[in-house]
Amino acid sequence: MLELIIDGITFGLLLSLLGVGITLIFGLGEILNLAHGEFAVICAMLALIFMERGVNTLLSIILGLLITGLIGLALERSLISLVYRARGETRILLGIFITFGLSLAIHSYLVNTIPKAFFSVKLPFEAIRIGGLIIRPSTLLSAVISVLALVLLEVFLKKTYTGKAIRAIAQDEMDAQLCGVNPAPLRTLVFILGAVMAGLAGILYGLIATVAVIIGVDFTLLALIVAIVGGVRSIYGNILSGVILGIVHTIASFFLGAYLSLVILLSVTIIIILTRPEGILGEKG
Amino acid sequence: MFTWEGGSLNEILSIKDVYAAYGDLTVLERINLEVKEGEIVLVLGSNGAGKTTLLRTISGILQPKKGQIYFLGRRIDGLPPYEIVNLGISYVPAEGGIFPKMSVMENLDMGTYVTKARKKKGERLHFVFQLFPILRERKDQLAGTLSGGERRMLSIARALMSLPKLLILDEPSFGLAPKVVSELFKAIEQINNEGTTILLVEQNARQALTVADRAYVLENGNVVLEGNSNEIANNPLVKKAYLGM
Repeated sequence: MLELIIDGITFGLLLSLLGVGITLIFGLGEILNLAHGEFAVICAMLALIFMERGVNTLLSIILGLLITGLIGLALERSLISLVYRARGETRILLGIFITFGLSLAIHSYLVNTIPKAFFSVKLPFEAIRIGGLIIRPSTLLSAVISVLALVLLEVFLKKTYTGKAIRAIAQDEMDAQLCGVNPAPLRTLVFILGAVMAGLAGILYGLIATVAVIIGVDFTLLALIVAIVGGVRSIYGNILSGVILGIVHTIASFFLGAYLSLVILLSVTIIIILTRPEGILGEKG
Repeated sequence: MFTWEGGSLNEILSIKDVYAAYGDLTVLERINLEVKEGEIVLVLGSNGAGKTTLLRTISGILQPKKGQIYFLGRRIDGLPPYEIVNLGISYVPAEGGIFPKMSVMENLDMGTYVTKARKKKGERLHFVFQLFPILRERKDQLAGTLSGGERRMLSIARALMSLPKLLILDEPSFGLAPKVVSELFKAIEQINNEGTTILLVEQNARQALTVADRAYVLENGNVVLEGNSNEIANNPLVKKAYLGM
């Protein structure tokens, strides 16, 4: 049972990485990125392509993350910047349609070109035993890297001028402009950041399981649930909800299977939306 | 190279024949207004006269339909707000002007987002804390937990952190207790004495006229009266409409 909880936390942290990206992108540009999970798959597949060409695993992963960032940049400057031209409700709807279309396009392309591609990373270490507890080094590594990435993000948002400006835009864009912040380049930066964090989540999923090309939609769905439960404007809320939902998902999958687990997750989401529409941490996050 | 494009030399702000509208609704009709270096200029007017629209147009939130705005000889109409702040105009809106989910200190940090203000941050902090000592006590508190008066102080302090040459205040006394209002007007005079030019919109005409050098009266998007504060304070129309005499 304890092992299940550890697996759940690890998976949950990975979901937090995805959820935080959705939250930041929505907070800055009011775009609910329904293609978010695809970046996880793109990054894993890019790393896989390099690995199959004999490139060292770590280098392949770094190249994968870099190219994912560049793809994020290209998409933001082309497709996503179209959405910013609209305002208010129109922008939100347009964002949903465009990113949903993008998700379908990426998904279909990958499924048609490399249907049998599977990305996973095997570590050359033995499992660690602590008392009766068996911990896989890959689980541990995945959790540590997730925490590290989230801490770095937090430091960036809290301590740098750019990070503070990003938080300022999320609170009140016009007010941020009155402080001298130009929102457009920061929106681009946050989209790239979101894409790279999703990419990292894809790589880390390859450590604890296997990334197949069809899994992007599942990532998007789980990330959306994490973002909604965590409060769509709260980073801390996202991390907490990621971990809680990760544990619930892992335990429910183990005892009831993946299908019922998803039903349970969605039920939890509905209950939280009804009782705490601002997310689990409310306004505080 | 820097070139002087318009306005006379000691004018910091010069508004020439400006029209502004929300959609089809014209709010400002051919406004002309000047602010000279070192002045406190007051804009009076009833609700809906176009005072806030005027300030929003200067700060770049709203683009004028026609006319020109010059700041230190440089044409600024059409520029986005973040560039106008960089040139040296800080606008404090009547509501907001703070980031409620950030601490007081982080709000002041955002004031120094303007690059040229970052080097003088320490000096500036000293000045705003001396101006509003309560902010020093509250510096680690979330801005959203401050009282109305403290929020107003923070929004002015944040704007001052950007080292503005021209500070624009929209109804700084609105909704505040009389004691806080007096403090605020004292602070406004202090800010002006320290060398910052101020453009002020106020409902509280009596107190505002005592600190202002000159005043404009706005009605239905037009300047109907202008002059030094004494002239304006003694004008029968102003006495009746704004001073309740």
